[in-house]
Amino acid sequence: MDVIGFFFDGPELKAVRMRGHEVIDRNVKQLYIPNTRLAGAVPTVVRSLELPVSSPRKALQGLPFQIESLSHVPVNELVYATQLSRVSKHTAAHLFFTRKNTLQTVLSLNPDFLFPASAALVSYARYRWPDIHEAILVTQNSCTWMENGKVKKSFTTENNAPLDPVIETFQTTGKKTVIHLDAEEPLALAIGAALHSLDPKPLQLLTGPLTPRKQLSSAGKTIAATFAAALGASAVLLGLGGAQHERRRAFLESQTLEKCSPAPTTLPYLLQVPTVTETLSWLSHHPLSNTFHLLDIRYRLTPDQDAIIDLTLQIHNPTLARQFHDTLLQDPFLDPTHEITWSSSDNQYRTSFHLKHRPPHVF
Amino acid sequence: MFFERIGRIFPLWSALLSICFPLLATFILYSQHTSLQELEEQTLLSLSRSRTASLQKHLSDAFFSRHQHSDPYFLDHHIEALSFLQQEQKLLQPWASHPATNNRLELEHRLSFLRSEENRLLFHETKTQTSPQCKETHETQRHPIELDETDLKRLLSLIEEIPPDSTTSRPQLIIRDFHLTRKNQTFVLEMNLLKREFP
Repeated sequence: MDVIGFFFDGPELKAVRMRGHEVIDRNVKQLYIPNTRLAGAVPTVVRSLELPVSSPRKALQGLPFQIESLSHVPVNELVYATQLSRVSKHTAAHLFFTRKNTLQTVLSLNPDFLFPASAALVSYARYRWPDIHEAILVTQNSCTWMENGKVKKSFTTENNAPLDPVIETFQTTGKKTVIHLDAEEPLALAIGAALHSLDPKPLQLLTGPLTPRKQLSSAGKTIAATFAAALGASAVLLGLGGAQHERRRAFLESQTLEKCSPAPTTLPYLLQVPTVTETLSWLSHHPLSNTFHLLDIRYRLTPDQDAIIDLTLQIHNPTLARQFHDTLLQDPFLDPTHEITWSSSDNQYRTSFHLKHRPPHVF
Repeated sequence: MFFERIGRIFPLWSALLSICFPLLATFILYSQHTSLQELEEQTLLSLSRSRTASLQKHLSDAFFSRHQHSDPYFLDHHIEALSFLQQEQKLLQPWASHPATNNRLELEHRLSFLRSEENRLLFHETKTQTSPQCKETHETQRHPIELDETDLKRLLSLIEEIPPDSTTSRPQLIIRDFHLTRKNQTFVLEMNLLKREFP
């Protein structure tokens, strides 16, 4: 989108039209061109201060109180932009401010951006001399100290007072390049304003109540669109999700109704523990069956369907007897919740245990 | 004008409201999902119960079809009629009748024991409970018997029905107490049964 940069040279309005970084019209007469943005540069007072906080957010919160001490004009009559930079544990703030009532002529043009003239000059200098990071930019009635591509200090005179003392003051901290912009480019401010609008964080003076109408309108449209989209998306989400839930619910309810059949009221007395045959088979297929000799076995079925086994075995080797006992402790055929007793006398070993329950089956 | 007013008044609120709608929708859907999950769990539980009930019904049907109208003399005809240690009897018979055998008297005595009712399974009914659905009888063995491994397998296969035999209508027999003691080459057996008949 093209940008028209402008400034008032006394009563005379000077404007240029730029497309990106290229000037396409140096003598703009018509400011209101569709699909263009209007960026103006106005003289501001620049004040620097150091705030004893490291957080820029906290520094911004404290600034209104600092401004009161920097200007005799009440804060509500001032328009200002702030440039913050962190210096070790402090925050350096550069305040660019001007009075609201001096902006009436400029505001009547409904600009999209309004920048401090010094910031516009720095933007121009950076564009024109990208290798120079520190310089003193001099115009007919202002003198701006650029450091690291930012405004360090700025001084504006009225009635074309001489700027040499100011330049000398700026030079005290070291020799700097002095660039006389009026000789170089009379429209430097307008070009700088247009260029500054391309900055990611421009020093916009039109904030709060002065926010441009176009910007407000655009924000309003975005808000309305976002709001409508959120509402629509929520409705769609609710509709689709709700319908999905309803289908699932109906399916589950039909499953419950279809599949549920009543359990028989009377159940037969089915054995839920291994039978005698299964027990003898388990014993005869035991991994250590070759090492013991069965002397006695008793299988007792209690009324609450617990099968208790009492075994008397003859094992000639105590190690094998211990092995047999160990296998019993881990045998899945046995119920581990009941005690497995174990006693010995000579080479006869007696053990007693409960069998594990299993699902009933009918042949 | 309208959008300017919105842009001026609602920048923050609109963001909050815009977030609120999807959040509200998500919350509603989540609560629906939670209740649906509960329903799903209940359905799974009831399906599981239904499967259990169906299995129980199947077992019940199979059981009753197997044991209803059973032979009331099954024990007498099939269990008590068994003769044990027949191999030994065959082995002893020629020796017991041979005139030159030294311990002929002992052999005859042993043979007589094996052939007699003393080594036959005999049960007497110690307790009977009757209901419209079932007659339950506690069968207690009168005296211990001697048998070998082959006899034991045959006896247990008859009582516990291994392999299943659907041709014979038989009562349900459950071994309540089974006591087997080794005696040289044979075993001494004592057992009590639970017999259940279904009219």
